[in-house]
Amino acid sequence: MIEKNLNPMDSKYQKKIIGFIDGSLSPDDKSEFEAYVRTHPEFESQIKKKEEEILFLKSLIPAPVMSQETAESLNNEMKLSIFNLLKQEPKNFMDRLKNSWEEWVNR
Amino acid sequence: MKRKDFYQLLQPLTEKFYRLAYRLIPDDLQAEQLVIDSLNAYLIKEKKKILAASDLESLSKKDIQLQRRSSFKGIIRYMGEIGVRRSSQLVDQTKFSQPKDFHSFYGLAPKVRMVISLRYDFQFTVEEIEDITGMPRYEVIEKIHNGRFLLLNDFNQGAQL
Repeated sequence: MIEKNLNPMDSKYQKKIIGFIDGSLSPDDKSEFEAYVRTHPEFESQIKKKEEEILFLKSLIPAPVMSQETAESLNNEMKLSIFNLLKQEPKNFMDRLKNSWEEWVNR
Repeated sequence: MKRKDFYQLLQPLTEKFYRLAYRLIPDDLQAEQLVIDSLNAYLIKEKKKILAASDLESLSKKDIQLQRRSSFKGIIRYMGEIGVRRSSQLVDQTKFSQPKDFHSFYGLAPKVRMVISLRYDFQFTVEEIEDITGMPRYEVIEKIHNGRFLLLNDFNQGAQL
């Protein structure tokens, strides 16, 4: 449905509501937006409506949680990958010693 | 940066990695594997940069946060690439079935699931999503709108039945 009485200024700030809610507006835009809301209290209902829509939308997105077992296994795998793939090629005996020491300490 | 520092930097993000991976491939083992594969791809590509970075003890809290966010974005960039491809292949080969819960969400295309998660769960801006996914701006906006519309529409239709 087309809203016939939509104020052009409202429509400009309407586009910024989501950014305002999630904090992604730049400091300047945020101050401008807040100033507009202060002078147009009726605009607050639109922000509230958007907030509710976003909350509802979030409830439609799954938030899978790892089991304890998966979390441990994933952490171990990540650690292993980091230690294996970020290994620096030893240039001398001291480097070899340093690598071995680091690996032993972080086992 | 030392290897143990990099691990410390990523460790608090494990849950987030898994969450996004599971949304792309809703299977426990496959999601775990996707996290590891994305991390490996990132490590191979960014090895020099990571090793040249400062150790955590010399960084301020703010810099650590910035470093963590940058690594997070770098890894999920690969996760999107690998996950979207793998998800389509697995569905084609019917290697896993769609979960019964949240069927509207899992009914969306993998790319849309990715964009919706980045926007509404991880609260990335459209510009950041452009950067992470490599999609042009209009495509990111289109996917956000379509995803939102399909999710809400599907819910409303379900409620009417």
